[in-house]
Amino acid sequence: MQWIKKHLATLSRLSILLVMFLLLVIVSPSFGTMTNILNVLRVSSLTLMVATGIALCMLVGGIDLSVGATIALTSILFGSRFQLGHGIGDMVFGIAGILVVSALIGACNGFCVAWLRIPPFLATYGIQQIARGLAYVLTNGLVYSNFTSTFQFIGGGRILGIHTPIIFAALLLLIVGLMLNKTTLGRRIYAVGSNREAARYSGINVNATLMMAYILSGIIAGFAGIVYTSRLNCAEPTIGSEFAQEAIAAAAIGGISFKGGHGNVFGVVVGALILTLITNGMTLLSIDSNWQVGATGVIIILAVLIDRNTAKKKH
Amino acid sequence: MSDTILEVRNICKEFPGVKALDNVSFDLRRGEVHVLLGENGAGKSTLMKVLTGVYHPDSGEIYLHGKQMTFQTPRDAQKAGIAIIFQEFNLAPNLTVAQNIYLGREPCTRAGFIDRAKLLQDSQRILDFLKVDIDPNAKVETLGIAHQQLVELAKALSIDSEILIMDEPTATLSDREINTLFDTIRSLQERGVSIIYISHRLQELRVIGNRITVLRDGQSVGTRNAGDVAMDDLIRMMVGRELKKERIRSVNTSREEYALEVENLSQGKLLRDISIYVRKGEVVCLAGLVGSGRTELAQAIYGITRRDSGSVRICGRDIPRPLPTRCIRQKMGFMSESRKEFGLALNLPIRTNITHAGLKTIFPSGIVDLRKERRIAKEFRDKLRIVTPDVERNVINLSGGNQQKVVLAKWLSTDSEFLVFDEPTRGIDVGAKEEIHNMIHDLATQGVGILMISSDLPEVLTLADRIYVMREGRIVKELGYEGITQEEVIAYATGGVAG
Repeated sequence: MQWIKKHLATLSRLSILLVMFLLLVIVSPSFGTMTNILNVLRVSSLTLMVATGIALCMLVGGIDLSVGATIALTSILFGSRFQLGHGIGDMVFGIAGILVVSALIGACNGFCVAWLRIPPFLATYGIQQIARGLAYVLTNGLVYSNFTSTFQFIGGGRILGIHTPIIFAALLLLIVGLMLNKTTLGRRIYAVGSNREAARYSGINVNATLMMAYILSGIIAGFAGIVYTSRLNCAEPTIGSEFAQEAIAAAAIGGISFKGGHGNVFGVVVGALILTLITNGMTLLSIDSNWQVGATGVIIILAVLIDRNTAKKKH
Repeated sequence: MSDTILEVRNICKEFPGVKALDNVSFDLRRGEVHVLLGENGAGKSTLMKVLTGVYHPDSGEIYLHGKQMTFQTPRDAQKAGIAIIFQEFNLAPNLTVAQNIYLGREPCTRAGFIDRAKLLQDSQRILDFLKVDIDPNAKVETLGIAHQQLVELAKALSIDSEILIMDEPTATLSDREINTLFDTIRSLQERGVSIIYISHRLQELRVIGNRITVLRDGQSVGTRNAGDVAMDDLIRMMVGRELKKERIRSVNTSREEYALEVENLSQGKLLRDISIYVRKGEVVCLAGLVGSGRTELAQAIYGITRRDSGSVRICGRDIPRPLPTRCIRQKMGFMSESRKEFGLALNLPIRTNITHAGLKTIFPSGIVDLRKERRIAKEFRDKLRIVTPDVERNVINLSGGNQQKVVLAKWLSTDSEFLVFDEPTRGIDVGAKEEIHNMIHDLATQGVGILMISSDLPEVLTLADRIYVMREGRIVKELGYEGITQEEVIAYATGGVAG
């Protein structure tokens, strides 16, 4: 009973997801097929990965708008600089390079937020512009494609019939979930987000914690970028521009508070799936794609309202 | 004078697991100050929230002027003439005094713009009535707490309230400010305003109150006339047991080693050339008026602010560039004055709050052992008698006294050997206060050095082995506990005698 009360908000979110799922199963015969379900999971897995990173920044009371640009810049660097040859060694070097660069971008975000005390929205918006700008300069309008088949497997392959992005997203969630619940870093992230001053008085290094959250968000975005580039088999400076918005929406629908200190990764999964089901469902119901965009907005707002009202009832 | 304007009958309100109000009845007469007395968690706040439409009672009736009322929202109660001044003010700090008084009800010109002249005029009229010298054009954030409270009061008066509820109005005021407040309350009484007055401060109740109703565990224990009730009776009604009065610390347990040594510490105009020490096992109090630099001194020691010069040694080791982390490593702990701002992560569970200060020492590997964490939380819940069925509860659901115990648990779990208590019992009821006093005493007996900042002189006198009196950023006097009186301390603190 106590458990139910404690997790009421999460359960209510989960029930919204289940209701949507059941409705779609009833209304559309093709929805319940294994192929489509895997498809839904595959589509949501990239949003989910990025959202997990952003959720870390939101938990410390910030936001990360730079994820899309991070994906673009790292994928460009991969295509143009890191992977000059076609051997496995080049690929490994390239992937390592991506992770390092994305960690650096995260560190820039963290530095601006923690030490320069720039509001997170502006800091990460600025870094986003810088990263995107660099991507344009580096490519000079070129598009890189035709990666090796080994590299294409990362984002486009299947293991035991399951798409690789799904597996990567699941692994990432597991790691981040464990980090948040089972490490002192996780404790510090929640403490800083819940009450920054109290955290400082408790001897928690607030700036270092903020820094870690942004670096992790950067690395996760870089990782998502690898998967994305591999799946597209193409690197160009414009990709990923809508990622930040979608990921923030997924995290917020999943109950990650904008004020910080509240929410968990399981919520993010539910949020990302709700978001994908909306689009997937409308496509299956052959709703005109021009109407889909606006309808998505309406459904998001409805979902948040339902969620908030059920959560309120516990008081 | 004796006609009843508000009557509350058999109010019951239940929250999951707690019966917050159990058949509570009381009445309020025109022009009286009716004191509601009770420990934290006795149901006072819940009752006030029922009266102001924040909560809806499960059963029971409210009669206003003999007419039964149900308040659906706080606005309904406001319209009926009931206003409340909360402990935490609902003021917009970056707006002016006048704007705050008429927030949301600004007088308008015919064109629909705000009539600034009338706004100022009306505000000035209310402030004049309160006999306070506040500039209606001043921003609220520039005012002291006492003046902010008066702005709250002015706001309540501007809606012609018949009934004013004041929640712990004197908790943060100095003696002089309290007198001004009491004068104001008396002139309100003359105008026929009735006041429900919530407080823990027993001494002041008989000065200001007409009748006193005591609540305990959600029930009304009884109503007495303030004129002829004995203090001991009230205390017995509140806690249901006698409180001992004598000095808690009978023997000085101080040891050879130092917990804190401060030499010639200065910081701008706030702190000047301060040298103090605390031995392990010793309880040292910093007495002085609000603003004399006591909290600032503690913050400078703890590395919240930077000092300009001087040296600080904690448990024998120099701390040249202090930071909370470094002080904690030297086994220092800091119980801040404001637990909500600096002490607790309110929307996190009791369990994680307790380990926040000890993350590095309790889990050196960086991996949190959940079972160990839960065990520690339960251990301190039992040891400190934190009243909660479950350590997974969020701290925000606890009463003030229990929240304070969670902060204390946080510092005990790190095995602190030097603890600063900044106003440890402010806003806490007598029962919890006594418990905290006993804990401080026990800690000292076990060898912990304690530096306590307190404005509550009886508290200082019951606990301190030594007292430093501060005035205007300086230590003006060091006193032993023997034979010293409240008057003496006040004399030094106010400059009544030459330091």
